[in-house]
Amino acid sequence: MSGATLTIPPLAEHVRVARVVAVAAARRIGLAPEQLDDVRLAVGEAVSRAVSRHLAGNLVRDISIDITEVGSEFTIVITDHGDAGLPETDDGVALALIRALAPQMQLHGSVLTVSWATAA
Amino acid sequence: MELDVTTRQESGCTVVAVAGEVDVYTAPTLDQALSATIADGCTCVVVDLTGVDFLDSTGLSVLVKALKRIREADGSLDVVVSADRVAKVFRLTGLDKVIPLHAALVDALEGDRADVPAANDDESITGGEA
Repeated sequence: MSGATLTIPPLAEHVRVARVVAVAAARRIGLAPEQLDDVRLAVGEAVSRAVSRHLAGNLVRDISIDITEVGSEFTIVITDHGDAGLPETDDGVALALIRALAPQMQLHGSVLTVSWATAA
Repeated sequence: MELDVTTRQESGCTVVAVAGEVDVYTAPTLDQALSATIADGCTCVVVDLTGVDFLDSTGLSVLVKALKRIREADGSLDVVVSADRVAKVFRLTGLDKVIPLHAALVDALEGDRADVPAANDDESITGGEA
């Protein structure tokens, strides 16, 4: 098992860092090139959404991005703190894109999990 | 990382050439350039994304906003996309059926439509309903 944890302040300028770290990890464990593109966009959408939720709720706490590889599964968990009565943000397109890009996607409150399977 | 946006006149249209990554941080730069172009009265606008290697839903919403304003002025907005990873975002959202996409700038300026290979309808998150 290998992985990484990244925490970023809820600012738009830091979303790119999350994409770069996630794609680097995905490349290292051997996801296919087209999967890397999907990871880049899905993580970008997920972290952008988290930043928007924090900004909408005036939350200054960090957003965490946990990257793990267990067996043949590459998983990224994006955790924000936007579960306490946040104003609605317009995240429909972002969530639909994430669902289309990640073979597995779960959203429980402020925790969004996306997973890809590595080639056997 | 900043987004590079330059505007020029070519073949009677305004070409807005974009280079870099369009995301939640950089999209306002593109929004400002397009808003200024539309405010100047340009009704033939081509957004050249050839130099763009990443575009997310924030970038798409900037393009949709520009499209609405240009259509209100009876104008046209065309987009040049060469990288498949960028074209895929348009296909997944069904926007490829709303905004004319072109593989090369010359095609956009000649007014040829839909010369990017047609999408597989199953791929769209909107189920083909744009």
